[in-house]
Amino acid sequence: MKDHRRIIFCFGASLLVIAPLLTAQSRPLSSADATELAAGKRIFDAQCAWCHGTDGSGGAGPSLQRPDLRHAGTDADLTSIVRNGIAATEMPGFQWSLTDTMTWRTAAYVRSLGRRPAQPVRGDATRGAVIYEAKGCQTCHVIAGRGTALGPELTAIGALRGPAYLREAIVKPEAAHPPGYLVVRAVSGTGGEVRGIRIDEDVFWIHIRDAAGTLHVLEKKQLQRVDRELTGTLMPSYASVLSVEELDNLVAYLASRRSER
Amino acid sequence: MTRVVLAWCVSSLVIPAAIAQRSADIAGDEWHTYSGTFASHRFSPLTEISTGNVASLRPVWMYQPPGTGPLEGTPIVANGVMYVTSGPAAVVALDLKSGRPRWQWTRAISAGVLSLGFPRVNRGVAVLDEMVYVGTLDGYLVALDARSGTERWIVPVGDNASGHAITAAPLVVEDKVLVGISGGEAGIRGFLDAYDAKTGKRIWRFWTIPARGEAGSDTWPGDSWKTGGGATWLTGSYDPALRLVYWGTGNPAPDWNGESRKGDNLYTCSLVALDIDSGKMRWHFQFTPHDVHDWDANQIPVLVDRMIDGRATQRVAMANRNGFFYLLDRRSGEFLLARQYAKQTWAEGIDPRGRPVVFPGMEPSEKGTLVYPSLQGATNWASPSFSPRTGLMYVAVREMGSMYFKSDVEYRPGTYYTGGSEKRLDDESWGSIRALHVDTGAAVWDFKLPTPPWGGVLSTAGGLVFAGSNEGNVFALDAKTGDPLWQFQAGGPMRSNPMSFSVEGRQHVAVAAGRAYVVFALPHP
Repeated sequence: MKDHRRIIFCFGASLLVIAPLLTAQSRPLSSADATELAAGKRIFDAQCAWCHGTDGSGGAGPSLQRPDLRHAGTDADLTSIVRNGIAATEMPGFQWSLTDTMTWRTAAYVRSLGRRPAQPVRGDATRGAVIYEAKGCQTCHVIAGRGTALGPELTAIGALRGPAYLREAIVKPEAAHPPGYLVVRAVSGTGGEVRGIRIDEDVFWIHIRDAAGTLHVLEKKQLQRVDRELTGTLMPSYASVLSVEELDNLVAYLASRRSER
Repeated sequence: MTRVVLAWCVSSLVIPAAIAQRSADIAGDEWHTYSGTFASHRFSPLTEISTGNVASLRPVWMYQPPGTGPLEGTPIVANGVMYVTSGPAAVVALDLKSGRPRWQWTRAISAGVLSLGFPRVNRGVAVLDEMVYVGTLDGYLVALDARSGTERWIVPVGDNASGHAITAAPLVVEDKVLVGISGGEAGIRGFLDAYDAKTGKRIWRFWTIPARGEAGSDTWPGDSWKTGGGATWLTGSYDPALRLVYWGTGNPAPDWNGESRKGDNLYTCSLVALDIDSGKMRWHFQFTPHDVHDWDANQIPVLVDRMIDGRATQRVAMANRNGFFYLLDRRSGEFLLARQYAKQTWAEGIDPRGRPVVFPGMEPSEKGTLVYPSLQGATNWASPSFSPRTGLMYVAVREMGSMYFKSDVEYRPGTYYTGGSEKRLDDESWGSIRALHVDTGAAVWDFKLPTPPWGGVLSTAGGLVFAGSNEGNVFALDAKTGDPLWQFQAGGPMRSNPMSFSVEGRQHVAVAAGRAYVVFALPHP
C-alpha cells in the first residue's frame, strides 16, 4: 500500500511537471488567452515589428494580417518558423532568444493577427499593372520572366514585402534596403568612376553592375578607392512622376503579386 | 621488385621510430600544438617562403575530409604526419607528400547532438608520443593510436544533454591532456579539465565559477552560479618555467539578460592562471565584469618576453573580444595596460586597475540598444599571431555593431539560456588584419577586408603574415608594412587558422577554406 501510494504520488508529480510542457506545445494557437496574447505582442513588438510592422501589416517582411500564411499552414509550422526561421529567406530563427513558452505566445499572437479584418490595400491592381508597364518598371525589374534583372525580382513581391514598404520603395527608394543591393562607387587610379550595385566583393576584386546593366569586374589594386553608399540606390524616386491614384494602383498591383506565376 | 620491398621495409622502420619521439613545445619543421607553441605565438621560424618569393606560392595538394559544416581546425604536423579534423566528429591522418589518408577515424554522433550557440565544428587535435587526442561534439575526450587511428581510451567530459560539447583542440602539457568545454549559451557551469595522457583518468578539474562559499562566489546571487556559463571553448597557453596554464573563460549565462546574476560574475570573461600540477588558480584577471554582450575572453593568451627599459619582462597579451588590447604581468596577473584596438561604444576607457569605465545605457533592451562591437566581438576565436622579429601582434579584427535585445529567460537543461538576441549591421561592417605593437597595443598597419573575418593569422620568419577572408581569399602580407604580396582564391570561406611546416626541407603553409584543407609550397627549383 505504501509502495502503491508512492507510485501514485510519483505519477501525479510527473504529471505536474509534464503538464505545462504538454499544454504549451499541444494547445491550438487559437486558444491563447488575453494574457498570453499580450505577452506575445510584447515580444512581437520588440523583435518582429522591425520587419513585419508594429501591427503586423508588413514592412521589409510580409504582412501577417492574413489567415493563410503561405509557410505556416499549421500551428506546428508557425511555431517552427518562429523558432528556426525559413531557409533561403530573410526570416531568421529566434531559438537563441525565445523560450518554448515565448515562442508559442509569439506564434499565437501572429495567428491572432490573421483573425483581424485585413486592412484593404488602397487602389486597383489591374490598373496598377498597366502603370507598371507604362512607367517602364520592367526595364529594371522582372515579373514572371519578363523584364531586366537590375533591381529585385517582383514576381511574388507581395508575399515578401508589405504594402507600406512597397509604397516607400517607390517614392523614397533610398529608405528601402533590400539585401544584396548595396550601392558602391569605385574610383580608378585615373579618376574614372563606376557606380552601381555590388554584385560580389572579395579582398582583391569587386564586381559592380551599373545602372545600364553592365557588369564591371575591377581589380582593387587598380582603384583609388571604393565607397559604400549606405543610403544609395539606383532606383529613381517616382514621387513626382505618379499621381496619388497611380501610386495607390501600382502598390495594389505589386501587393497582389503573391505567387510565382 | 626487390627495390620496392626494400623501400617498404625502410619506411616501416622509419615511421615507428619517428612516432616514438615525444611531442613537445617545438616550432620548426613541425607544428605540434594548436597555436604552434605553448606561448601561442602562431609564428613559424621557417624562412624558405619569404617576401621575395611568396608571389610564386601555389597549392600542392588539397584534402576534403568526411563530415559536414565549416572547417575551423588547425592541422597538426607531428612525426611526419598531418592530423586534421572535421565536424561533427572526424580525425584524418594525412601523408605530408601525397596528401592522402593514412587512416581516418569517425565517431557516430546522433543527428540530435546539441551544439547550442555554435556550428558543429572541431578545431583540431593534440599529440603526445604515440597518441592523438580529440574532443567530441557530444562531450567526450578520445585518445587514438597515432599509427592506426585505433581508439585507446574514451572518457566523458561533459553531458551533451545539458548542452556541454567540445569543439576546442586539447592542449598537451607534459603527461596531461587539458581540454576545455563549450556550452555557455546553454547555461552550463564551465570548467577546465586535465586528464592523464596514458590512461584518460581525470587528474583535476578547475571550475570557472566558484561554488557557494568559495572565493568569488559572492559575485553570484542565489543559485545563479549553477547555470552561470564561463565556458572554456578555445585552447590556452602554458609557461613551463612558471608551470602555469593560461586559459580564457567565457561569458556569463544568460548572455544578454543579467537580471538574475547581478554582480561581477567571477571568473567569467577572465584570464585565469592555473598551477599545472594541481589545477589551482594562482591569479585571475577579469576583462569584462558582469558582461551582458557575450564578450567572452576565450581569445588566445599570447605569452611574450620583452625587454622594456632594459628590464626583462614576462607578459601575457590578449586582444579581447570587448575591443581592448591588454597586457598583464603573467607571473602575478598585474594589469599593465589596455588600449582600444577596434571601434567600441560601451566604455569610456579602462581604469588604472584594469576595470572598464562603462557608459550608462549600453545594456541590451527590449527595443534594442546599438553597441559596438557586435555580439561576435572585435575579434573572436580566430587566432592572433605574434612575430618576435617585428614585435607586432597580428589580429583578425571585426569592425561591426549590433542592436542588442534583451528578453525574458528561463533555464531548462539542454536549451538556449541567453535572454536576448542581436540584429547585426551587415552593410556597415568590415574587417581587417591589424598589426598592433605588442608593447603598447598601438596600431602600426591595417589591411582591410570587405567583411569581418572568421579566419586567424600566421606570421613567419620569412617576414610574412598569412591570413584569409570570408570570401575565400588566402593571402600573404608583408609583416612589416601590411602590403599584400600573394593571394589565392580558394573558393570557400577561410574560417580557420593557418600553420606552417616543412617536409624534406621544403616549407609548406596549410589552411582550411570551404570544405578543404589546402597546402601551399613554392615550385620545385
